[in-house]
Amino acid sequence: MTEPADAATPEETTRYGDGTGDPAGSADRNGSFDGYDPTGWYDELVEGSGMPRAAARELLAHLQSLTLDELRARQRAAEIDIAASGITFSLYSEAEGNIDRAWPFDVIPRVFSSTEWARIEVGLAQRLRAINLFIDDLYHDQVSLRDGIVPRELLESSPGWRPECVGISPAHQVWAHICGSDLVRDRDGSMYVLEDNLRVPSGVSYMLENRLVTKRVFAELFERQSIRPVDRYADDLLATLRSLSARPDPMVVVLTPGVYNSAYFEHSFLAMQMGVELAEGADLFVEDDVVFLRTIEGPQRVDVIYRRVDDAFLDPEVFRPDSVLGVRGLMRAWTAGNVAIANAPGTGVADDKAVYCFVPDLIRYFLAEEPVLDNVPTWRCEDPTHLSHVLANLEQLVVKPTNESGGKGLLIGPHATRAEIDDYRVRLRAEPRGWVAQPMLSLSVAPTLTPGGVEPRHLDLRPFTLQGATTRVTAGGLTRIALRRGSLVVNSSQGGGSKDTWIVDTP
Amino acid sequence: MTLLCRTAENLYWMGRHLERAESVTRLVREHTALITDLPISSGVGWDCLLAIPGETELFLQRYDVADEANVMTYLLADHANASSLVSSMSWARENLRTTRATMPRETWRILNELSRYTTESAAQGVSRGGRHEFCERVVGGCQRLSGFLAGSMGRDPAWRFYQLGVQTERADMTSRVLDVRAGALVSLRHAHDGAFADSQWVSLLRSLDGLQLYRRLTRSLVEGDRVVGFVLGEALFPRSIGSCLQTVADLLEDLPHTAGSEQARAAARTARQRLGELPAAGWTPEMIHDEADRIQLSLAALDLVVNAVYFHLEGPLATAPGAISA
Repeated sequence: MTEPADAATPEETTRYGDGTGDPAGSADRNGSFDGYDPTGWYDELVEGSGMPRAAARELLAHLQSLTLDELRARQRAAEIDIAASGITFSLYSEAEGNIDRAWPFDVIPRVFSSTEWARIEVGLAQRLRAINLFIDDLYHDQVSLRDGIVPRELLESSPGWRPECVGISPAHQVWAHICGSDLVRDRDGSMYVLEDNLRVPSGVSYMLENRLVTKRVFAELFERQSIRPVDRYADDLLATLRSLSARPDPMVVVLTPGVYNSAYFEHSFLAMQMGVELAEGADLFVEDDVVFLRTIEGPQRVDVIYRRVDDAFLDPEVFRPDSVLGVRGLMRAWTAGNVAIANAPGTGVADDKAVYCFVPDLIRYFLAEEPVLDNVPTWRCEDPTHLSHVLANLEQLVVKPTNESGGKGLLIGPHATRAEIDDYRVRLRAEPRGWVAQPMLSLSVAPTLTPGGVEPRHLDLRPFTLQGATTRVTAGGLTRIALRRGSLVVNSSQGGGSKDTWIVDTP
Repeated sequence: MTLLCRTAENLYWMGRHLERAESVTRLVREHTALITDLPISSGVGWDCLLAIPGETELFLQRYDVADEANVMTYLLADHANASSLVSSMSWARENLRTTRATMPRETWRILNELSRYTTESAAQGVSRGGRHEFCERVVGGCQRLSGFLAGSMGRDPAWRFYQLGVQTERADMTSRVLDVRAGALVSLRHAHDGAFADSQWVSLLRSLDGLQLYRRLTRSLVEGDRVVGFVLGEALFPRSIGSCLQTVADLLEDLPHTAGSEQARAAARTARQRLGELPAAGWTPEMIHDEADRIQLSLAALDLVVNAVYFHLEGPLATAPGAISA
């Protein structure tokens, strides 16, 4: 999993962060990377020796040829571009209600070599195929439970389990059509899957926007090297969605909870990119188990719904009766096979951090393959031996609720106070099924422009995997960074930022 | 081509709000230029800018005097005034936010920039020194957007609903300008104290962006009855009420002929037809007022029909088996 050895000789190339903190640029002009020192971390762009990684060589040489002020000017240009384009995310605040914030973006890209990426791509596709076979099995014969691959209690206690879905057979045996996995790299350079987001994963629009901004700000770099384009995503998504319907020229819509949802920007972005309608619940109705769209020409039949609404709000007839976001009768239409829903209702059963632990076993069981990507070692508190290990080592572990997203409810042991740890001890004992624990990873870093100059910041990656008639993975994904020094929290709702992600062909 | 009822309604309102923003700004710009030229003795004040959009009463609920600072604040910068420039811009932006998927991508960028500029610089528009530049930029921004849309939007129903909003609002505003300004000017002529009437007629034409065309078409002086006729019915003038109504009638003709839509087309045709039968001269303030009133009533009626036929087809209309097209 390490990078190919760097062929350049030290004399030819600037060294970054040799540990001395000495300026490395030429004497008459200070490069923006002078003094950059990632010592102690795995750096995505710089090797331990202080040499650029092969895939990042062009980028680093270019950045070093700029002064810090010149680099800051690029950053400002990017921020102006983002403000002018209205690339925002919404935050909910008690005081102001919903507020739109400009998307936080760092101008220095994060780079993968195409060789490493090829492996990750295979691993992600493999993972999603296994997860889908597992979900399909859960709602049919449950052979994986009978064979003891996954404990039955886990399924029965999962809040994502939907008895209404038993016996339903979505096209291609696929339930999760769009998956956003979170990948992290540890100090030794190994990549791990941290979690698989299978419900309504978001962020892909920012991946696409980040590229547009970077192309405007660093146009010259795209001429000199081969960076894989990301803009196929909308076409891939549309092809995936269309493959879910057997009707000729199927009508696809995106279903959004509406303008007040924090991901509305993305819902509208994707509908626009695909050239399909962005519908709210009230724009749809069901008659004779068929879904129709209210249009100016009268009702039109809908074949595929890319829903960005949680299961619980999909259909007030079946789930939450107070929901105004969904469509009455939608589940009847889906059950009758008259409409495809992506991701399918009931998919959430596999979006559970306790199920996550078993994904490598599921790959071996359903695909008879060895997993390409590893899980982060995880203790399931439901298992009494795991629980006692976790309780004895809380100070070293990260504890996560099994059914939350967005970094909510986390205990980061090494950073927690005595009182917080005691509080979690009580909560874990009271409801072990609700928690898992993982070792505190030493997340990799990448150079990031900060008020104090270019400094290392921790990051992760969210690639997106699509599965319909075929399986596709985005070229890269959304790189999220922790903007504060030393912080490991990358969520944009909690002060995280983002970077463009490059897959670069190396000779 | 599919268009959601909700999206159609938002496009229509986006068109109305953008047109309102542009016309209010142009009115403010031209009125400021006029007042700068006129001696104080002319008696022309700022209050007529409130009368045109029919805002005098609402204004007086929150401000005591209709002086320059108050009127400018109210019309340009007041978020509590639902039809102020900043409000129109933010309504337009909200409407676009929910219809972005049907519009060329760049639309959002242009409107977002314009709306940010308007909100951030509205104070500059309130001060007389910065007003001209502010108004130029806002009008220019609106025109950039409408020009961009004219050059890049498909001539599909989305375009038609957006244009329906623009043309309806434009006809409405022209009729209001005519009512308040021309009404007052016609009476000046009869009282023989119209020393400054000429520059006011010129200003009226300017505020509708029609002076140059008026001169080229009429090859005559700016003269009251002719201006009234020009503003009401000149087919070649895109802001005349006649042109707007003709465009509205054409747009409706091209929209889907669904149940009840004939009512909308008939209403537009009737209103258009009447404009062809108006007198060429001898306009009195009462005649102008009556005509403007009639026009505004037919626009309001048209708005109601379009609403019922295209935007809010609830229940039986939407679900009648005959109407299902799949």
